[in-house]
Amino acid sequence: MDWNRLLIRAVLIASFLGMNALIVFGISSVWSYLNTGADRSTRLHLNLEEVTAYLPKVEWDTSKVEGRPMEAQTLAQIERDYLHGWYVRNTALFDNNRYGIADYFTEGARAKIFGLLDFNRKQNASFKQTTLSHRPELAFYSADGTQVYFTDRKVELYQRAYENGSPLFESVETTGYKVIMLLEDGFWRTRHFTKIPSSDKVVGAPVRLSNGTLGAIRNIKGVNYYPQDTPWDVFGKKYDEAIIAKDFELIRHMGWNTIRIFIPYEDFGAVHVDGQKLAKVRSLLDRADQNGLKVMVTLFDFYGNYDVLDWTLTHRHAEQVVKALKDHPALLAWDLKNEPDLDFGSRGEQTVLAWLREMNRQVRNWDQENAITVGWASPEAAVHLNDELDFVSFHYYREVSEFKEAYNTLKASVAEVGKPIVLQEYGISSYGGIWNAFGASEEKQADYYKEMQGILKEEGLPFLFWTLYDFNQVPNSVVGWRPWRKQPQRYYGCFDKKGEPKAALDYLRQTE
Amino acid sequence: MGRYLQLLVLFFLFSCGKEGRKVAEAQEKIAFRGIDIPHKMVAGDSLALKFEVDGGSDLVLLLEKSFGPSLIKPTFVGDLAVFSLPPEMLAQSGMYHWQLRASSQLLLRGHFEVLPNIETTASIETYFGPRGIRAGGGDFSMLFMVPLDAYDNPLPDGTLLRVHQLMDKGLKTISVTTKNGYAFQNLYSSDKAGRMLVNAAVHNVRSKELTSVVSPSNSVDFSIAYQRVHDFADGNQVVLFKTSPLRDRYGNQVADGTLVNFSIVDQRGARLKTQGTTLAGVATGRILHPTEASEWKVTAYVTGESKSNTMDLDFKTAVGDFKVAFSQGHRRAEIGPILGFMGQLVPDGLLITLHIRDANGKLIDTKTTHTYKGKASFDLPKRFYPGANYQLIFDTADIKKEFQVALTDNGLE
Repeated sequence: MDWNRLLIRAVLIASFLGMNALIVFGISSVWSYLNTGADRSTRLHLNLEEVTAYLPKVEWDTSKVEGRPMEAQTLAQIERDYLHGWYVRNTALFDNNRYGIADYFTEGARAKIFGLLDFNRKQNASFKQTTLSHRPELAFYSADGTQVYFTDRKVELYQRAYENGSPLFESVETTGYKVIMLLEDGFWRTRHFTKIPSSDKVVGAPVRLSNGTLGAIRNIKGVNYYPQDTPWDVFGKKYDEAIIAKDFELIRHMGWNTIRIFIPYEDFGAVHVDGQKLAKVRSLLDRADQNGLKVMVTLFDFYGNYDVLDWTLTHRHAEQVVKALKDHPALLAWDLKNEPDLDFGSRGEQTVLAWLREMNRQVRNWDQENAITVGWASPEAAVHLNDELDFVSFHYYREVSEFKEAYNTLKASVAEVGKPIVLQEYGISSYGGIWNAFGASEEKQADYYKEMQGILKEEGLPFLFWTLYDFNQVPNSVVGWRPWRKQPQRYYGCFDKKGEPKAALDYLRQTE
Repeated sequence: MGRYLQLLVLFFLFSCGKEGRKVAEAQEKIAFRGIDIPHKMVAGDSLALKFEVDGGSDLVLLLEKSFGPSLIKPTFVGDLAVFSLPPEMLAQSGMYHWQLRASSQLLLRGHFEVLPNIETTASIETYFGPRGIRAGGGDFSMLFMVPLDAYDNPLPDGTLLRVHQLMDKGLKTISVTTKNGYAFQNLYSSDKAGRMLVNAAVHNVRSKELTSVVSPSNSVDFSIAYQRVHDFADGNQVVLFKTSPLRDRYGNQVADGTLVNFSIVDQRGARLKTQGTTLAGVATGRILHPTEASEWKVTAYVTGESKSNTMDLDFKTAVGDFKVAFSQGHRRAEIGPILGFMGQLVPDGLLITLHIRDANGKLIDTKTTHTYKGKASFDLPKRFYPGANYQLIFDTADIKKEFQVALTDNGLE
């Protein structure tokens, strides 16, 4: 056998096959390249995919239209393209890139925007901006349906200026624009866009909460509630009203009067809130009401973007949830975000605070009855926004011995605004397995609560402890997958996995 | 203390000054004053915003105009911080809001307005539509106008525009004034079909010519007539219907190509239809003569608009008597020759129908054939018609002939 010959033969055959494969691949690449981008069906922009990226509140006034009456469908198209125009301009102002501008602005308008972008690029200036609301008054719609004029009033514009990519300052403005739009090959494009004298911002009278609400907050003795079998997924497929009712009865028997629940942002459908899940929340509130419990609803759980360009989407989410639940008798307060200070590092303190400040304003707009707070992760972070929020909430998972000092510091800084303070989360795990070197135990947990409850009683501090049950499962999304983080998280309850009371309960229960 | 006084003095000066509103919560003590900041200016001007600033660092001016914000850095001339805004920064009309900031601290904010530059009126944007309307004065084309200065800014409200309209050989000038930067004018059609030419002008700037086609309005009722070679129902000649010229109520001839439907109802209530389109207002429709004596009532319609009078049209029978000869034990019937109205053989293709009934008068079969060279024949094969007594009825051009025959079994196979 001549191995050399065989080898040469094999190499020849392989290279022949390889060569053919390459040629076929090359031809097909050229072919597919030449066949993309020119589909006839795309010419009229009929099959554009809708991406919901920008949803400021828009309220049209079409009561005084000259030229011709406006049709609802055309108005929807105009609104869509006008907002898209805002969106592409907002993104362009951030990276000084012209992408998308040509789709929503006519040639004349484009030139002005490009001039601005070029100037800002030279100055190394960029901006993140978003509008929060628009009140366009449609004044003209042409007989052939291809031109409109409207005055966009009370545009609330939030801007953050950057120089060389680092944030300089933020500014809020209420302004207005005169807008002429033309229908050009299927798009309503902005032709003239002229800023007009800004109307003064409408400042409503400051909301004063009723004494009943404030009293209920000062009297909170409660628990952060998750059902035992579905922690962090209360309103999922396994939602069971009977379990909720049983748990609430237990909570009532223990003498607690308030629970805190969580509404995950993505899970509830983000911009398009899932009505079925809202119905489950309502059913939970009904059960709470039947047991005389008040509920603190935490919004935006597992949300972490806060980006200015994401604001309007989160506003629409909150609007749907708040408007659906605000009149429920069991509702006590909105917690805008759980532990947002933990995102200061990754998202920027200014970004997070600006988002919270605006969210507070928005929620207050829809609901003047219930209190609003933010569940800060530490007493040190709880000084933020305390002149704007209705009460101050903080979490505490550190040493009991340091609690008093931290609390007193916070109390001193809040004293000026005179708002209630709530210890919204605290607790300790009784996990004593191999993943816990410190060797926690049910006894130590009981000691912790004994000491804590003593301090809380002494200070008259409203509290919501963490949590009712030990859990069988903790999702990775909560504390990650690492067992030394995950395991302790399962043993924070005052009832164990079998539903038997743990030693700590003796100090937590408010009844004899 | 001296510093304190200085601040106080500057503060006093500022509060008396023409411009600006103090907003700074002095985190850092910075004294500042805006100097001669104008309220209004004209597109194409340049501007230098000057401030006396004492203390503070990293001064920057945020200038917010219609399409978005910019940051501007100062130059220092003595004690003054000067923010120079070149004309191209101020080319767009509208409000400009500015904020003077020192490392993110807001010192002063204000605004000025840039007005369109009327002196450089450069063009007038015109949009005209719909471009096809109907005569009669109820329909209009709309002219939408935006007069512009050299910087592409709409001219101020109240700008006088002149609209020239040429229609029916008459020239009309209409004056309109702008509001919110635009003006529009509805230009109604007259009673006459034709074209409307318009243009618009502002100051000495004119737009191009724009056209709208005024088409005739709905047609009004009309009359019809017919033409035919003879009045015999020979199924061979063509009768031609013709409308009177179709016009709208203003006397405009309807557009060429207007569809006219001719609807015919015969003496039995059967409906026939033909159609034609107008040319110079007249539509013609054609239809074949019937094959039997008929009395037609003809009406023409322009759907949804108008109709004609109803016209009577009669046809006489084109066929006289005809002979039927049987052979092969009555299993073959030969018809003809059939003669026409002037003794000619009838045209090929005349329909002949044979109804076959059994002895009890029950219809068994209907057969049809057509004449060829004036003749036709039917075969009645044994397979289908076993030997028995039958009633045969021949019918052509509504002339019937009836025979009682006995078909035998030894005839045609």
